[in-house]
Amino acid sequence: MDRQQLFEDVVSQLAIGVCIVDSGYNLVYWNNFFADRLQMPMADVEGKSLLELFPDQATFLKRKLQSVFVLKNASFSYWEQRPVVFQFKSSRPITGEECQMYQNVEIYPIFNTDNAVDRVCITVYDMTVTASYHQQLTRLTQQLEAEKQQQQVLINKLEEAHNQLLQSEKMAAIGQLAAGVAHEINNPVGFIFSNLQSLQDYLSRMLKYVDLLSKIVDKVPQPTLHQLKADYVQRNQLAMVLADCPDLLNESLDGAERVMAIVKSLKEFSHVDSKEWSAADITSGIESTLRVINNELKYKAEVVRHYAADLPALYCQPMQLNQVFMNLLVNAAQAMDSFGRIEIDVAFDEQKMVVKIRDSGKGIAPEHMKRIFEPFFTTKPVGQGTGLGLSLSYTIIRRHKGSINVESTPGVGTCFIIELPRRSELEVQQDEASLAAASQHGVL
Amino acid sequence: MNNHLLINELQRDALQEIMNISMGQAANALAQLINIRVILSIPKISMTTPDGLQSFYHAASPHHFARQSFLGDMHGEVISVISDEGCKELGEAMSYDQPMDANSVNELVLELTNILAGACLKGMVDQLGSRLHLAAPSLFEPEQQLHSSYNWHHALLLEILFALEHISFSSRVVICLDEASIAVLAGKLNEMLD
Amino acid sequence: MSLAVTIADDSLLSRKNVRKAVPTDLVADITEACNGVEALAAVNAGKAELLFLDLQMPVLDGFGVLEALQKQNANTIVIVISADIQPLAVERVYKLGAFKFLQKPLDPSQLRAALAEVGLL
Repeated sequence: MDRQQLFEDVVSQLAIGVCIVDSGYNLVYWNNFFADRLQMPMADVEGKSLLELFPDQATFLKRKLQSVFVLKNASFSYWEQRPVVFQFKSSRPITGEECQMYQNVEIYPIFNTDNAVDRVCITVYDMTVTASYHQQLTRLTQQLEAEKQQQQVLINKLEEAHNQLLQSEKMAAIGQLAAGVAHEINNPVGFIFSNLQSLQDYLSRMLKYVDLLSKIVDKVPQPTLHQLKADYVQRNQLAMVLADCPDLLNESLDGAERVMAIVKSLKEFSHVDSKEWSAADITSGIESTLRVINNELKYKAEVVRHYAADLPALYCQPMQLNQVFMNLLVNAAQAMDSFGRIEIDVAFDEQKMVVKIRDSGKGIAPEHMKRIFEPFFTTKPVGQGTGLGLSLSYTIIRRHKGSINVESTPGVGTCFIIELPRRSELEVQQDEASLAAASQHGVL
Repeated sequence: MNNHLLINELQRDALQEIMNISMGQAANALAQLINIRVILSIPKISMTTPDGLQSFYHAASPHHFARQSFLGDMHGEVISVISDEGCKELGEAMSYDQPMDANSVNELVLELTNILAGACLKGMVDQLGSRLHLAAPSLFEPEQQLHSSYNWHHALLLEILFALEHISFSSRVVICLDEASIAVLAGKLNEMLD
Repeated sequence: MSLAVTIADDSLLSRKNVRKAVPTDLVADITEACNGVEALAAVNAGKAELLFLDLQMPVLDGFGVLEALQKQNANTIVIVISADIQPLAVERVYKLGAFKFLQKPLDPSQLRAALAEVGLL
């Protein structure tokens, strides 16, 4: 075998594509790499235009070939930017894993004896394996990056939750303190109140007695005695004192009564974490909540109550429901741009109780509506809202097998509607028991 | 920095002229390929250190960076800095599919680098009676270069600015030769000067 | 025949190449100029019956020289030898009255062919 035959044999069998075209871009040669994959033997394509054989890439091939002919320098194409230049049959005919061959292409000039370029050689390298590794790696990197970001979100949430925990611990401490103070104040206020009541009784008797004595003195025909009484009454402004006494006592009684009411609310709220189930009057829970947050509300909105008459008791977790009312009422107050109105409806039928809390605040943006019950979702500035209030409320209502829904019109106001089924004590116990069993089995 | 450290004034003059001629050929070839008149500056020849090369990468507006190494009697690297501005118009002139996404801009940058570097070097080695082979170009991010890993102290920089008529576009091509190759270059220049 | 020749080019190498390519029997005297102004001075001093002119030069470029020569109707044969070989440059050179445009790097046989065309060889 002579050298030329040898080289031809070698080139035809190379594992890279070799293709030679002339300055008219017509095919001079291609090796088996091309012929086998395209099922076009050399004899069939010799002299045909490369651009016509690969019309999809004609513009690209023409530009590349032209630049090689003009500049007499090699030109390159990479699978990263242009994965497929030549449409071959699958390079994995059996497994069919890759339907396209990723290619690196190099085009270089072939100089003739006059040092001119009248042919160029195109070589094609199958980069499919490298490309798939590379893509796999890229996917993996992206996945890692995404996971890293998710973790960062999680870390932020944890931090928020930690802050929330600190906050709630603080609140619990304040609650305990308040309960202690309430307890300490409760007794003295109790006896102050009952003493004042006794004092009121005694005073009215003493006033009657003074009146009687005064009348008796007037009946005695002794002018000096009369003069003496008049002087005494005058000097001590007794008329005013006697008239003032009942008012003073009434005011004091009123004050003591208010102190007792606040102490009672505080005592109730110091049990805010209580998850005890009991039959309770929903409206009294709302009222005691309103008392506790009175300061937050009084400059923000007028509170209008529409409570149905003859409201039955509901077997529920009263303190948990109070928490829900508090969240909704505080949100309502914070939604006010100017002094507004909060309406509280409580109604009932055979199956359920319905509580509506409607405000005339700025409303919720439509894009936020779906997310407001998500944990950590908040539209308040950082540090002002934990984004947990509504999600907590949602959890509490679900625990009561109820529902909480929202209707809102931006600029008009928002209405939260809570529906609570009227369940018997027995039903609640059964539901709670199955819940506990489920959580033990790790279903929840 | 002493610009005349490794080549003398005569050699420098000769190199300058060789570069001028290369540029003329490159511009003519480019104009044929993209049908736009190419405006070339007179090549700037200077010596640099790794630190100096680093400062070369600082650009105010968005730029693409690509490099291409070459082997032969002389070896080194060609770095091209291509403005993002004008790439779209240039792509259109070079019949790239429109609109161009990031991938086709990358392809354009690589192709431009290959054309510019190839044209500059070809003219130069032809005149010097030298030979060299250009490897495939690749994109790179200058920020990610560890210049402490450079194993040279001085390099010869041949800097060429390309601009286009009617299109706001600019590119710089820098041919970097290391110390060993500079010695080979100086020898070839001496042969020409004799 | 012997002529006063001026070679205007800012590059020493280029001037050398031209010097080497010009047949010695043709030349009486060779003047070298490094820019356009020096080239014009040589012309005015009668030292440039034949002018080899580069286009890219400091101070005054080759186009400037050609314009000045055209204005003063100088009796000088100009052969431009330039690296700028874009068609527009070539066209402009001929418009400005150059006799011949040769591209760099200078091919001595082309230079001799050009001289023969002028009738100097």
